[in-house]
Amino acid sequence: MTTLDTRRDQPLTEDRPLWERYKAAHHWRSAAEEFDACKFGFWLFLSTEVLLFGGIFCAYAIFRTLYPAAFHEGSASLDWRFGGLNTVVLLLSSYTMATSIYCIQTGKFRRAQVNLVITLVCGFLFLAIKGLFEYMPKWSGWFFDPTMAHGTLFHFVEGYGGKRPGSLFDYPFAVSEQMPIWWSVYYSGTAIHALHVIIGMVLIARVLYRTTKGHYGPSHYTMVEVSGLYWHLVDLIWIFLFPLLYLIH
Amino acid sequence: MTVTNPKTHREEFNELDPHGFELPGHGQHAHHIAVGPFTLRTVLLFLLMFTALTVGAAQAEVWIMHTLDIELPWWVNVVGAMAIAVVKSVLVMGYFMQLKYDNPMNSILMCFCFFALGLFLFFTGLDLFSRGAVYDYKAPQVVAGGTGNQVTQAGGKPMVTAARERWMTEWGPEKFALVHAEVMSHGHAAVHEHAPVVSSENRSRPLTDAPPAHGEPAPHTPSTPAPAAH
Repeated sequence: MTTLDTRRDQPLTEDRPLWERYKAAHHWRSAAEEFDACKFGFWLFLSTEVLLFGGIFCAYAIFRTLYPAAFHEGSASLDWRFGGLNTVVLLLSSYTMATSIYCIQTGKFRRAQVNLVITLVCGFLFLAIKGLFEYMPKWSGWFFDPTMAHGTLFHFVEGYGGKRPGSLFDYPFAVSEQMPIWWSVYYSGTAIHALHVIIGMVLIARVLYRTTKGHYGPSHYTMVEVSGLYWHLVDLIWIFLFPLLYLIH
Repeated sequence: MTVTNPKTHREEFNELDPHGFELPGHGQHAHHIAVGPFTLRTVLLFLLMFTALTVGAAQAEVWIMHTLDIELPWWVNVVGAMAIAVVKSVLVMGYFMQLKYDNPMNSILMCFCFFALGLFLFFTGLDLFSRGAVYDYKAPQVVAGGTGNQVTQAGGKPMVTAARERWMTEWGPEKFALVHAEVMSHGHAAVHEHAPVVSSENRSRPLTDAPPAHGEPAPHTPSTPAPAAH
C-alpha cells in the first residue's frame, strides 16, 4: 500500500483515494495524536477569537452603560426581523456543517459536499441580507427591494441614510447626542463578524474543493473538523450579538 | 485464573513503540465520535426554539411596557437575553463543536477563556459602575461626553446637532419636516423610533444619562411631541 508523505516529495499514485493514503507527519506517534493536537491548537486559536470579540462586547457594555438612551434609540433603528432571519440562517449553516462532518466520517462524500454547499449558500445569504437590507439603507439611504414595489430594484429615500459610525455620521433626525457611538459599536461588531463569516466561507470553499478531490475521508478529516469549528464560532458570536444589538427595548 | 494486562505483558513489549501506537487496531486512528443526524437535528430544533424565545421575551417586554405601563429595570432585558444566549452557546459548543465527546482539555480551555473574558468585564465594570460617585473636587470636570463635538465638521457642537443643522440649512424647515415624516413612516424596515423618555406632568422618569456637571445647563430634551407610538 503506497503512502502519501505529507512533505509531498513522493509521487501520488491513483489506486487508492488520497484520504486512505494519508500518513501523519513523522514526529507524531500516530494519526490520532496529530488529530488531537491539531484540534487542541485550533481551540486555543478559537479562544483568542472569543477574546477579540470580548473586546467589542466590552466596548458595548461600557457605552451602553454610559449612554443607554442612545443605544435604545439606535436599536430601534434596527429591524429585528432581519437579525432574526440572519440568526436562523447561521444556525442552519452550523447544522449543515456538522452534518457534513458526520457524512465524511461515515464515508457519504456526495452528501457531505451537498451539506458544504448549503453551508456556503447560507453564509452568502447572511452577507447579502446584512449588506443589502441593513448596511446599504442605513449608510446611504438606498433601499434594495426585490419586490420592486417602487418600480425599480433600488430606490432612494432621502434623509434615511447617514447612520454611519463616528465622524462619518450624517443622519438629520437623531435625538440622542451619542448616536455616532452607537453606530460605531454596531458597525464594528457586525463588520468584524462579517469578516469572520467571509474567512469561514473561504475555509469551507477550500474544504469543499478538496473533498471533491478525495482528500478527506473517515480516517482523515482534520481540516474539515477545524473549518467546522471556526464556522460554529462565527455562529456563536452572532448568537450573542443579535440580542445585544437588536433586542434592546 | 490469571488476568494478563496487555500493557505490562513483557513479550509484546517493543522498545521502538513502547506505548503500542503501531499495534494493529490500537491508537493508530483516533476514536472518532460521529455525532449522528438525529442528535444534530434535535439540537437545531432547540436552538431555533430558543431563538424564538429570545425574540418573544423582547417583544413581551415591549408589550408589558406599553400595555401594562410597567417599566422593567434595564438589566431584565440584558440578563434574560444573555441567559438564553448562554444556553444556546452551550448547545452549539457541546454538540455541534463536539466538546461533549471530546478530550476534556478542550472544554477546560474554553471555560478558562470565558473566565478570562469575565475577568475583563469584571474589572471594566468595577470602574464603570463607580463613576456615579462624583466627588466635589472632581465635579467641575464631569461633562456628558460622547457627543463628538471635537470632530472637525461638528464645529464644536455635538455631531448629532451639527448634522441636523446641516440638513436644516440645506433643505429649509418645510422640507425638513416633510422628510422627517416620510422617514418616520417609511415602512421598509419598520422603523418606529420610540419617543425619548421624558418626564411629564403625570410621570417623572429618571434621567439615565450622565448628570450635568455643576453649573452646566441640563441636556436639551426635545419639546416637540413624539410621533404616535405604534
